[in-house]
Amino acid sequence: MMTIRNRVYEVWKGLASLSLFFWLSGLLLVAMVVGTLAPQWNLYRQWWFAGLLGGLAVNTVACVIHRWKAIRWPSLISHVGILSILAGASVTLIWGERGSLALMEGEAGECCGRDAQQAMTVHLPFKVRLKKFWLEHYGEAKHAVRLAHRTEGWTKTLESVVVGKQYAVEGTPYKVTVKQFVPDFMIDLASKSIQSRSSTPRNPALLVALEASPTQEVWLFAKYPGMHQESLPVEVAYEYRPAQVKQFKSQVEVVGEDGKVRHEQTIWVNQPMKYAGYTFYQSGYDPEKPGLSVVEVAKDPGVPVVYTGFGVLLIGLSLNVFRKRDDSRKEKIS
Amino acid sequence: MTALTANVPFGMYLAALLVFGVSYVVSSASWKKWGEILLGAGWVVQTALMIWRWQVGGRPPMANQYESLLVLSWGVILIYGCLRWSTTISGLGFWVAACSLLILASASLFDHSIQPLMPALQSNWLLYHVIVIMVGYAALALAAVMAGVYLVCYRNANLKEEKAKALDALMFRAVTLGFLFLVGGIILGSVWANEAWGSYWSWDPKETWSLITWMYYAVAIHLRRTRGWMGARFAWLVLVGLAFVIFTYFGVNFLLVGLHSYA
Repeated sequence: MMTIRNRVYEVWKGLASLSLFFWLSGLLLVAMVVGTLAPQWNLYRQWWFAGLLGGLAVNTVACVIHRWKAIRWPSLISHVGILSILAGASVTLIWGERGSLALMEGEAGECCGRDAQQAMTVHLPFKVRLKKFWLEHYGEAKHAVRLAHRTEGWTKTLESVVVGKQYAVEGTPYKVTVKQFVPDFMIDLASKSIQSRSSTPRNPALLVALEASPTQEVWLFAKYPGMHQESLPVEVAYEYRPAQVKQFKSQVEVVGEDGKVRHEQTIWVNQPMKYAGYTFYQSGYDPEKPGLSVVEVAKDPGVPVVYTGFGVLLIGLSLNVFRKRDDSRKEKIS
Repeated sequence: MTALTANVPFGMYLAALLVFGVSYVVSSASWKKWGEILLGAGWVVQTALMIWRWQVGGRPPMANQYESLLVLSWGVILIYGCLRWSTTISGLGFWVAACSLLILASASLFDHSIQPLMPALQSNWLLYHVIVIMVGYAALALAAVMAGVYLVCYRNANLKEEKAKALDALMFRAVTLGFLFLVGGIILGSVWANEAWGSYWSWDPKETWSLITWMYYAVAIHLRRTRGWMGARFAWLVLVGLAFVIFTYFGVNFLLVGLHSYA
């Protein structure tokens, strides 16, 4: 008859078996593959997925203890590293705080939440105010004007045209003079004048004079190519090519309960702000809403544990790879 | 001009391949030596051209698929050179040259112009992360080359046979090296993600697939060490592993949407 001690030992042997490692790894691999193919299922947040990772951690601990006499130092160190990473990930999951602040220029916030699937909400013990938000670009935006003749069938494109210059359209009798550029076109009804609502190119428009007979001035709209074309002898279209965004930056202030500014810093991607245990990351903006900046807020006590695991794992694997071995040295393959 | 970074090394590796081919036909050690000299010279030239591209672009040449393929082919020769230096292997040069040529040829399918960096990539972590992970891929690709050679030449060989044993051991060494660099690259990417977005792991498809690949090799290494899967069995595992590497590197970019869509 099997004693309790024998039963416990059998369970222990099962937990410390390599077969369990192969099974758990196989299941995790399948789960992760399915998780990438069907992200809507959100497999990584299911209890059973955490259970598989937990099972792998228990199996690793049991394997190491069960074989501690046979296991080599480098392997032992590597496995301790993996356990530390899993432990740090658990700390992140349980005690980590994470949220997102969407602020307009001049606006302040102290509470930020995530989407409905994540309950974690950060309540900051201070306010964060967006003083200024701006975009930096590689070079300038470019304008191109394309002319197409309705009956003759030709199309000509004037690349990189500049305001104030005149361009002869090669092989045709036409000349185009670029007179004005407005990034966000609007008509002020009171003064009946053309103005730009903002410096953001939400409705870029170009005023050109088409010299034919007679010369005609026309506003071309990048977003509304068919407008004001009826009286023209040729179809004229305008293409606005925005400059590539180099960086987006936010100047933020930390404001205490007394309303005084405690800290001020400019943040951008890869350059976060750290204050009172929280880290503020520049994460996004909305090209349609100038002055809006999205800042991620995180406080993660799991990071030091995970980073320790990273270091330990790398040390263990490096020792494993670079330890002296005699199996492949001084052998000839030809 | 920017296509030179791939075209010049391609020419030199092609010349090395031809010389290695002649060495097999005439069974000449001196031809083999010349093949290796050409391979080494091609690598030096490729290194210089990558540094030139770095200077012209004002950033490390590792920001898109074309540039990462250059680093991958460079890494394959580098790892082969290291293994060649630390052991006395001498029969793999032809296949290594062929592997690098294939990688450089696939680079020609992508835009070779030097584009400015997008905001997320403007960090020194780009250099560390890409170079380490590419060296890892290179080691695993080289292991797959050895696995192919093993399965063709020593499929039914006994591991007591000297050459089969040596190739098997070398293949395992390349796998452990790739395993180390792959996790090194994942870790560097993870630290970078934490610096840039405040999250060291987001289950992004590229991240997840690199973890899948790493776990697959962990299982393969455990099968070898604890279940005795050596020789041909391990070679098959390594070849399947290459499919994981290729999907992580290429497949994810084209089939799945995530944070690495530029890579």
